[in-house]
Amino acid sequence: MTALTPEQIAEGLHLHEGDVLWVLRKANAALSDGSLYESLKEKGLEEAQVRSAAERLKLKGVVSVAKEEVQTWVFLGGISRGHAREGSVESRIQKYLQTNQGCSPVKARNDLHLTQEEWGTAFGNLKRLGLVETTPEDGLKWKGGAGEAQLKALDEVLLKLGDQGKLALEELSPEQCEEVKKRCRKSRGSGKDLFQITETVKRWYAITDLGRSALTIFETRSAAGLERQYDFSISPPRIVAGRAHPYRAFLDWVRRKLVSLGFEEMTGDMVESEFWNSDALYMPQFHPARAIHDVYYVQKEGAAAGRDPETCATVPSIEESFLANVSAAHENGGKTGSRGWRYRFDHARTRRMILRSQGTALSARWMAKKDLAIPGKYFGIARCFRNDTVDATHAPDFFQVEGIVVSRTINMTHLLGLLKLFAQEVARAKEVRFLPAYFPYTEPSVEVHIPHPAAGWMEMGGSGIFRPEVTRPLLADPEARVIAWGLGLDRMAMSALGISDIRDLFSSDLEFLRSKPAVFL
Amino acid sequence: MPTITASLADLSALTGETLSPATVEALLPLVKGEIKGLSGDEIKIELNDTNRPDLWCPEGIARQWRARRLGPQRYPFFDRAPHAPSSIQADPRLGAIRPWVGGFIARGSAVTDLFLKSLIQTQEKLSDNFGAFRKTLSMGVYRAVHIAFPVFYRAVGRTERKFVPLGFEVEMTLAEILEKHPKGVQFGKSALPLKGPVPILEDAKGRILSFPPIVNSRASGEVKIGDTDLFIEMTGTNFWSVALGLNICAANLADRGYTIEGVNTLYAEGSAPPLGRLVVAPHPLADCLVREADLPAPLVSELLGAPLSPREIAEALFRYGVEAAPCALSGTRGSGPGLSKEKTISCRIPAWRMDFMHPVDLVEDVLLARGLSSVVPAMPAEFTVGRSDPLVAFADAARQAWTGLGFEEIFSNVLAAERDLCERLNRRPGLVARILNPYSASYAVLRDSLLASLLRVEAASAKALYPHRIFEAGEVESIVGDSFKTQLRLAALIAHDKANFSELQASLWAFLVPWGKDLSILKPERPDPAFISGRLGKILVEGRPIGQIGEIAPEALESWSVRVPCAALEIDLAALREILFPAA
Repeated sequence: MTALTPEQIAEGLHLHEGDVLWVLRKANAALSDGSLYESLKEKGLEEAQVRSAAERLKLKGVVSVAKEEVQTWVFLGGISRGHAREGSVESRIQKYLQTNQGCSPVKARNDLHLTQEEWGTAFGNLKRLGLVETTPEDGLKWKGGAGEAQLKALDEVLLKLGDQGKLALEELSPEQCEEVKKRCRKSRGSGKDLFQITETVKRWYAITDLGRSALTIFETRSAAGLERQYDFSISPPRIVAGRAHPYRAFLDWVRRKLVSLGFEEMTGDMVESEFWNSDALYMPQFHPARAIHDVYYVQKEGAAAGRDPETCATVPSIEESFLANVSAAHENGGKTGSRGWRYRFDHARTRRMILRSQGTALSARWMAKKDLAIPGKYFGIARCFRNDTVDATHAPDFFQVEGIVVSRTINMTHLLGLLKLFAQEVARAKEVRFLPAYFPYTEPSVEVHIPHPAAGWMEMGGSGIFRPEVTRPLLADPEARVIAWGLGLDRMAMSALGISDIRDLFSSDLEFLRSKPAVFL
Repeated sequence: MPTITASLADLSALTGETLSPATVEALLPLVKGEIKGLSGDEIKIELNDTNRPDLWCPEGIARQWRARRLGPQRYPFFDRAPHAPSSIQADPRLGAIRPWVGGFIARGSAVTDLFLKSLIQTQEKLSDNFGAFRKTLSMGVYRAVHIAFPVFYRAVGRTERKFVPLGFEVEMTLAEILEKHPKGVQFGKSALPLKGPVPILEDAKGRILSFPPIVNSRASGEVKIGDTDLFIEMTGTNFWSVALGLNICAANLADRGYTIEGVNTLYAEGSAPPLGRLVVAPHPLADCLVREADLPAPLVSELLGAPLSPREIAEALFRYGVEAAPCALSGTRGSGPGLSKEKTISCRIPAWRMDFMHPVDLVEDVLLARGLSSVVPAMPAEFTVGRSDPLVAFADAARQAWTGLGFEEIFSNVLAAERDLCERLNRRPGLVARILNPYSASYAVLRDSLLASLLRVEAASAKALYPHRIFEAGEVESIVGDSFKTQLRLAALIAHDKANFSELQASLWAFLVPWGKDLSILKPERPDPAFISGRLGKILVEGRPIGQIGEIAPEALESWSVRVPCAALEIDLAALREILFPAA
């Protein structure tokens, strides 16, 4: 930065800066930030405003720093906040033991409502000071002794802090200083500490010759009624504003898209029976994706964690008509025209409760609705769960958007038409590629791929026409067909938000969230 | 989904065409395959159809590809039961352990290095993937010259017999193999019962061939390059898997130039194999799994959305390797609404395929033969109304209102650590939906409240510019009576030096007042130790509870290492909606 002339400085001088300069010129000596504030508080300035004006003046070279002094302050630490007036845990133990000699440590801890950790730390301190004694026969005993003075010193500090909020370290007696320092970590008190120590810097400022010239010009300009000239290079202060969550906003946008395309929303519970999650979708009970290492089971009340299916919670029953038709479809095809999977359907297993592993469970529930409007288009955005490691590509729970079109006239051309539309509208893909796929519940089955900047092509989701073994047992209209599709949303959102770790979609860091746009058009 | 390694040269030889990586890629949709890697002549292919184990080998892929030029392939041994001079005798005591067994002999061609690798790969894919880690199906290959028929499939005690397993130099008992041999350790527990007798295969001279499904004996079970006569055997708990696996392998070996010689399996009286006590392998499976079916032509046109004549359909199926001929439907098979007098296509499905369950499976074959590009994308013509779920729409409105109140939205996972929901909120463990088989303790329960999710953000954001006013609208899992129920809640939290109850209540009131309902806050019946006692209130709208609001207890803040005071509220959106929109 080139040096500013007195005129340039005067033009851009803030009113507060003028005030500070004026006080310094009048004093004709170096003044501390504290005394500057004292002189200016009548004018309505706050301490922070005075400090920041002085610092800005220093940068412009109109004041100089004559002297600096570091000051150390003591604050209450995390665990003593709100408890300062009760004194330290140690002195509370002291008071208690003096009237309850010989009680057990567990009783003392419970009566005093102390956590294991609080008790452990305080009791350790008391033992170190030789103030307590404990024997298996006589329980706890208060011995008293020289250490009591230290406790007293500590309590005095706590009491004062309870009243005043902060204390300069130099105001404390040497014993008190020592006790305080023992019980905190420097500058960033951990939550487990009794005290917190913070250092501040006290500065003395003096006006420079450049400052005197600038102030004179400033006064002339003010007298002439000339306004201050703004410096546009300065960043505005940051504010915190209400805003939507970026990933939520993305999901909302997908929902709006689907509603606008004529789809009605489906919703459902996170805990689902195996029946609706898998059996109703004609996934055979021996299907590998249904194994215990892939799906989360819900614990029966009172059971322990483990892998024994007997300890899995179950729903009381499945509606008989659906159960009979679905189990027949699995065993021999039932009335679906299929030969079925040809195995014995496990009626106990179908009632087991699991965490929904696929959004398609919503479609199964919806198809079974008696009042389902046909023709109809339905979609659901479902939180799903799979028993998997959590890493950059796997979140503990994740979202799928699932859709079905139920109609007597629907066919493959419509499936590809809609998939192409979603690829354009939802994934903003310019191209789309269809590949034959396999899913137990659709035939034919199709995978949708869209271009990916790094990976060439990326799978957007799976789809197909539901098999008659799925639709016949569930749908009220035997002639209706259903096309179905499921798209993973997490990867699409990551690409829209410029995120490479899926866990960041659920970030706990507010500043990170504030750095991402939450608007999708 | 299995991934196999194949050689381009081998695939070309088997297909009878010169294949380049580009032609392979173009042909892969026919077998639902994807290239996963390519280096020199070696190509890695992922096969997506878990119901087509016949495609998990180069021979099967090539067979499917050949069909598009040559049509269905016929193997003499599937057309009539082959002459079977040799037999396997199955011990009825294996009925409860691993009942099914079968095998065949392949003669006349010398084993090459490439073929041996491919054979071992097929064995692994069939046994480990299709056979569910060798439980329902496993496969063994032997030098046939070392075997004296009949072969006996016997149940024996675990320490009763000894032999030298592949890869070892010394004799071991079966128990020792399960304990020490790598294959015993890997598959013993999943594929065999934990106690009691286990199966062995031994020949007429009492020589042990193998301990199925774990390991072969070194003497007869180590196939070498140059061997010309092989005995292939499969055992398992699923009869149809065993029969199908043998058919696939027989077709594969025939494609490699071997002559297939069937072997009979004789089951004892009292056991009930679905095909009778004498079963030959390979087997035509003609009458048992549906091998013949009538495909109604209109079904194809309806599903594919293209008017196809029976001739066109039959021609497509032919190119997909299915014997098909148009005919007028005579019987009642495959009848559907309005189809009885229509033209149908009579089909015969190859004996190495088990994926046929319903005529729609043949429709997909037609589609695969014609290619997905034959389908012209179109929009459904019927008009439907788009609509949000009413509760979700209400949650949207609430979320919008809270952002307008200056709150930042957060979004969290529903899976949580139980400790976060109880101990760290100063709450006692209560009834929550716990996972029986959690992957880690950090994600072992479904959250029953949003408070921990908000505090997690607060704990991670100590350096973020204050004040913090955050909220989340999301699912929690509650226990209502004795069942689980997913609820939609909204929770908000304020955190800064002077955050308190009345500031948060002011926001809540700003949210609720415009509806003109009667609002009040009452002392809760029961304290919630997550909040400071006396500073927790129950929120009532029109006298009905919808949630609670309070200042968070220092103990809870402490356990999240939150250094500033916090006030929080949590409300049930469904309950609130019912009060505000009773008619909806």
